[in-house]
Amino acid sequence: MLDLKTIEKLDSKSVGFFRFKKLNGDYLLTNDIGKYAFLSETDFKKFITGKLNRKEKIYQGLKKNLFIKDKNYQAQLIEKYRDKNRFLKFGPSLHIIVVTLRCNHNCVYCHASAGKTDDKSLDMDMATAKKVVDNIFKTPNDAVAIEFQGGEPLLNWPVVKFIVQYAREKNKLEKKNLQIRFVSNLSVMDEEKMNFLLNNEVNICTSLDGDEETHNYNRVYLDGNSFKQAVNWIKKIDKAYKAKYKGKKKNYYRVGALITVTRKTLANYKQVIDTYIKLGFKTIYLRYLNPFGFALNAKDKIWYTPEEYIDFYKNALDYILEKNYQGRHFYDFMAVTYLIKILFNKDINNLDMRSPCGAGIGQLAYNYNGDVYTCDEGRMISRMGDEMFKLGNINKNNFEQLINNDLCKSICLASCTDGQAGYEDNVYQPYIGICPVYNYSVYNNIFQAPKNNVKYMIDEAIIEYLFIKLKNRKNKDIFTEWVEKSQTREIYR
Amino acid sequence: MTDNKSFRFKIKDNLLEFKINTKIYSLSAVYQAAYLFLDKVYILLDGDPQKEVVVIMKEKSSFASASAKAMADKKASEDKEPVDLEKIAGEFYNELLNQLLREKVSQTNAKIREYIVSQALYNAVPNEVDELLKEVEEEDWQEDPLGIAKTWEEQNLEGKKSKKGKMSKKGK
Amino acid sequence: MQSIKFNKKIYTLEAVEKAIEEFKNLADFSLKEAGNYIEVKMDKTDKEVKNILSDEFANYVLGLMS
Repeated sequence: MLDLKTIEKLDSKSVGFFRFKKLNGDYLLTNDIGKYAFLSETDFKKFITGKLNRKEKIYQGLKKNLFIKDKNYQAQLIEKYRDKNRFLKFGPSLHIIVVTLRCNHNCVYCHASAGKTDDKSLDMDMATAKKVVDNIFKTPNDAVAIEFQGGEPLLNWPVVKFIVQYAREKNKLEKKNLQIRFVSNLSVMDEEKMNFLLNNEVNICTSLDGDEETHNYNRVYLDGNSFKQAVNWIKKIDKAYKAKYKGKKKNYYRVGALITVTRKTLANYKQVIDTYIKLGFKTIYLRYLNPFGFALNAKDKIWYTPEEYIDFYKNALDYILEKNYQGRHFYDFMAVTYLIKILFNKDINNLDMRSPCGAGIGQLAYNYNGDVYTCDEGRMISRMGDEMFKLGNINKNNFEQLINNDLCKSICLASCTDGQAGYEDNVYQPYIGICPVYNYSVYNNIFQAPKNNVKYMIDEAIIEYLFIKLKNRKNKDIFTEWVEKSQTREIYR
Repeated sequence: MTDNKSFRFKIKDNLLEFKINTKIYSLSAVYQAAYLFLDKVYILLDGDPQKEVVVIMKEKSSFASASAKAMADKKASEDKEPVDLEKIAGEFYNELLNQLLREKVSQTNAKIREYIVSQALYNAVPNEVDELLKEVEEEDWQEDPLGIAKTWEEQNLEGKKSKKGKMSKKGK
Repeated sequence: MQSIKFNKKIYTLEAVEKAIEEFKNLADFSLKEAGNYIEVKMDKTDKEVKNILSDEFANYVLGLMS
């Protein structure tokens, strides 16, 4: 336990800035560049009073990780802080395009509040699609990812085809690192469309909510069995990818899958994970439900309390770790997102888990009618009749007008954990992200302190659980391997 | 519980009361510590922030403190341990010590952190920081009056050197 | 009628007013400044929260101060 005498003897000359928390008997320390250390109470007291033996491993570790000031402290910290925040100057890299809001599924949680299958007024037209692509290439970012979201993009195939071809053509001059991702339920996929996507190096991703029972409970498809359709195409596309890259690439692309965790998933977590493993997936993304769209209307059927979700997540992570102990390489993408920050001090493009978040500065979302939003979540709010996160329209506003919008600045400020009450002193501050759209949706304010903030409560619990697991050497080795392997794969794979 | 002998409290009418010396603990540290306990107990602050702040704690009734989930789950509600005010008061005091350390670490590193962030972000966001730098240049930052561009070892060494210098002058 | 006094050297009027805004559906609130204190009175309190309203209100105000 800390005491006044020890605190009064704080050695300000050697002790650099750190945050701390007592966790399972030891002190967990983190600093501004995301480095961490566990210290026993005795060592913690020695550290703050400058009494650690300089030759000891603990001292050397703290010095290396910039908890202790020495002659290189300042220069190294500047460089590492710059590295950690490098993304700030890049401009939006993720561009989400909704080519149609129509969908042939009636998923219980649909965040996008998809429209009827035959309502073609919800389709993007060619002229708008061209302007969207032109706008995308105005970003100063060298890396550009175009992601088709829905609605079901296969229902407006001519526009998908145009965007892919036009973007590839345009990129011959622009020479950006261009990735195109296609998120679809695959129910109306056919060979021709599949081959087009493969030939244009489009990464295909689908929704897979786990085993057949769980998946079909969540994802209602009146024209057939949603699970069987998805699995059938996952296998076909994987086979085609394998054939296409045979002998050329070691880490050839595979279909990615996204899961939406509902109440049904909580009880069936083992079957869900087993299904993913059986289908050959190396990763799952066990993130919680967002309070947007139809998810709000189906609360009794799909919703859970944060405590229930946290219990589920811990159980699922333990189960995944068990699989790894048995030699199976499989990881949770959410865990990896945090572990990249914790172990490698980097932020990847998981934009609502970053500070500041990606809204506007990291991503833009384009609706079927040309309306542009700070992010896909902001676009989902618009579908609920609230245009709070609309930056403008592609037919009326140019790139600079969209990005220099005051809304972009406000969101950036609201999602910055630095200096924000409740976050500034928090030991997990270097890793946690704020989603102002979530705050707005639940608390009616883009600024919401962490106290009683459900998203914060869940994020904090997950990060804390990862740190508890990290204390075990075996787990740390597995986590490190996850992060290393994830670097060679794309998102969702 | 805290092992700090200076921690004294009194209990009367289900209220636990203790005083905090604000010469040692800032009002901000009291707020921060209190914040962490608002879901466990009711807290009211009184007194004079220039001298002593009085913390008054009251147990939350089982109805008020039970979460919606626990209320729905009868067993969980029955198993719920009664709130131990004395224990929480002890934890509160320990949290005050944590806050005190946080404030000290933060204060002693404030200038260097500010310098590091501005230097790091200078290259990250040129336009914004160019303006900031212009303002700082107008304040003649190159003189480094705060000594923030020096390591503590350099500062230390210089301090010692100058002391020596003065002494030798005196000697002459 | 319930009342609670907030020390003006510790609690700001802004925080008390913000809390009243948040709690206004649960009772009729009135506020007056008297010496070093801001006194908040609660009347016609919602039955379900009658026993805890003033304490919950005080915690809420304190939460806004941190």
